[in-house]
Amino acid sequence: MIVIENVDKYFGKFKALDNVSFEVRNGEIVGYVGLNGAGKTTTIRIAVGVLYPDKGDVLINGYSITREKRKASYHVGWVPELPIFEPDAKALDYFVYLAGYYGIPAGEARRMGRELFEKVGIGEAADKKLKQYSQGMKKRFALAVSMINNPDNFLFDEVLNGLDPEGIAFFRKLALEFKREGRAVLFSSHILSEVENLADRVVFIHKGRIIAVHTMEEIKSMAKPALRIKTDRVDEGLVKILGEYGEVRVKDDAVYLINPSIDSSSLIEKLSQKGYRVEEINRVRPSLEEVFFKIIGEQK
Amino acid sequence: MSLTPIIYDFKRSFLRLSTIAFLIVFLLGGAGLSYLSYQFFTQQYPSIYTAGIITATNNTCMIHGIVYDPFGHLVDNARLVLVNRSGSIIAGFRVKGNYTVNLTDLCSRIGGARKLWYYLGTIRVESSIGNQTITTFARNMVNESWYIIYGRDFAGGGIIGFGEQPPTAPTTRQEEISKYESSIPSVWASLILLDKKTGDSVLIMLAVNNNQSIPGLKPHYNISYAFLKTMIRQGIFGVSGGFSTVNLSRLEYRDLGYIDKYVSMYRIRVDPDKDNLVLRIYDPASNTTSYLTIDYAFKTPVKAVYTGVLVAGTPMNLFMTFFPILFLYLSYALLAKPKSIGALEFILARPVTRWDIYLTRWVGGVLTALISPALFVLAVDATTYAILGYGMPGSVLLAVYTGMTLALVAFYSLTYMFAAGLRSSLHLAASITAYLVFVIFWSIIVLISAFIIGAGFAGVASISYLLAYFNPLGAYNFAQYSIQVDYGLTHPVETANPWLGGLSAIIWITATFIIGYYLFKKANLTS
Repeated sequence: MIVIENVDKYFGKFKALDNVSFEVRNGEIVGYVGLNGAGKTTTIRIAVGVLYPDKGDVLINGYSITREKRKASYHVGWVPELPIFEPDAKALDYFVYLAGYYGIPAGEARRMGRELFEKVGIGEAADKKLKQYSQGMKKRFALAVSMINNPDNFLFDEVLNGLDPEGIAFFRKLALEFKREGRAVLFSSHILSEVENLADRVVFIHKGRIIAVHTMEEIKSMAKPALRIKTDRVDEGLVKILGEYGEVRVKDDAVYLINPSIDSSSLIEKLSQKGYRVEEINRVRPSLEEVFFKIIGEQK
Repeated sequence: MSLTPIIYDFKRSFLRLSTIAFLIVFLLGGAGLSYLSYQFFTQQYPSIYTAGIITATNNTCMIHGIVYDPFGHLVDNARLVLVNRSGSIIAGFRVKGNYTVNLTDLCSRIGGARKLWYYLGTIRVESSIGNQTITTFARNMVNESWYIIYGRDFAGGGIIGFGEQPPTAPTTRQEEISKYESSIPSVWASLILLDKKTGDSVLIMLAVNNNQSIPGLKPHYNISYAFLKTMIRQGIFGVSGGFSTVNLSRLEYRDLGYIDKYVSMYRIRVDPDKDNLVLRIYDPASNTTSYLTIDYAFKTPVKAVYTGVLVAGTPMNLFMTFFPILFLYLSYALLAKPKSIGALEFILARPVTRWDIYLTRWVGGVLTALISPALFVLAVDATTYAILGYGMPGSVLLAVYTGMTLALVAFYSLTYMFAAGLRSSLHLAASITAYLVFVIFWSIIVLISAFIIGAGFAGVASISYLLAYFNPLGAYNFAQYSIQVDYGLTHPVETANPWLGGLSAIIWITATFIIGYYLFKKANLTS
């Protein structure tokens, strides 16, 4: 279980985190959502103990990351967005070195390393130097290292970013597997649809502050239905007509009618009467993205 | 935490290409330069000493001589060759350390007596010395002291000879006589000082009796010895003052006994507080007493000189001049670079603290600083042993090693501190500056300081040691100093205290380590 308690963090005068608090329970995947620079990575860095908070604390299985760093870090795995290692080290050697910090003797660490490398899909590259690894391989290596002591908690920071479809599928499957095994997983991403598909709860952060925490059920209930309409032309007249039946948003070459008070066949009829030819109309469910922007809007 | 991270960091510092390349260069260089030091040394202190007397009486020519090494050991299996001026061998003998050659045809082989001494210009010795068989000694490796006696029956009279120096070739007979005839002693003595502190020495004497009535010019003298202080020493920077006048007959003599051999060797202990050995030679046949003095004030035991050459000489100084560069680089590779690129963050996410990372990487470099000088010193010592048969004493090795290690760890800790607090590019700039200041320009800084405070050249040594406390690499200077003082190779300097020098290095190490940790604790480890 990961508990983030009232964390503040300043970079110079800039307040990157402002009283951030939330928790990730065992057997739960929590999505951590925010715009770039919102404070997701800073929160995670503090949670794994590589940054000091200016205020507050993070408890990993009840151990304070600031006061009991060794114990707390023992129970958490971390896959950063852009893992950086000492480039000249060979992957397996570096794994053995890092395993040493868990008290695992070199021989056993070497055997364990080969097993974990196979599991995360970099078994063939065990003897390659880390500088020869692609970004996806580095993330898999970081995952293998994080799994050295089979921790109860995982922090995935933008882990899907830059991965190929196979990599995305791998990490998604892994997160679900961890959840089934009863581990706590914090999954930050700006690919909100991925979080939407994985998370049990979503923590929204904006400009260093937690602006909302909702379960996926709550989010779904918050999401209003919409009609996506494509007509022969989009003009002010069209927006005016649609405005009579709900909130209108124009995006790309389509118009969205949020929470419509009219059914689609009636709407087609109304538009035809006004001289618009409806080429396509379908009902859509609003995405997490829309909910997120709505929440941000409410905050403003 | 297991030892794996420490071993790994050590392997990455010690087994990295740059370290191994540095070590190989310095091990080979150290061994090679030891050999050069040996060559230099042999010019000052030849490896073979020989002295001899030729007596010629009743048409019988005999050579009485001795071959010995700088430690006073007799050298067997030496081959003496008498060569004339044109280089032709006229006689050759294989001899043991203390030898007599008695051949009936020697006189005829030597040829015309009046020309004889010309022909003794060169001696060649083939010998096994130390652990090395030396087949031909260069002229500068042999110290020749010949003492030629012409018997009355040999070529018609006179006694001509010379001592100390190998013969040169005077151009006229008159020059020969004026050069050597007047300087013939009946006893020739040489003192080998083995230990300046205890005065342990070897005294070698060659003697003849010039009285032609005595068969074979055989000596029969009573020898006694005393010590005398003639030079008045003042000040800490050198020698000044004058000579005291004494009556040699009033000294307290100890009896060495009668000598009746042409060549004798004694183990004696000279008084370290005096500077002259006085030999009283009593000839009962003529009831005369003569004195021979040997000044040992500036004699330095050969082991001390060689140790001094090694400790303060080129190999060690080169090592201490350039090896710090490796530690500058190690602090960059172990801390500055991974910190700057952000690689330490991932390590810090393990069950470790910043202290663990800071400590293990520091220890990795320190282990290299512990092992590299050990290998270097042992390589130099092994070379010394191989070529001279003399290894540096354990106390010297320990002092050299301790000084080098403390100095290198202190310098490494300083650059490690820079690595903890600065980005990698600034770390390099600061470390290179420190290297230039503390290694390359240090002598100039000392010199300028000496003049600024008005001490001048005379005060350079004093200021040098005073400032060495403020140099992270100063510990080695104090190690050199302690060895040189111990062997009497330098005078004590008031400002030099090797223990304080060691303490200074420990303070350098501790202070930079603590400050470095404070900086590392605050450092941003994100790239």
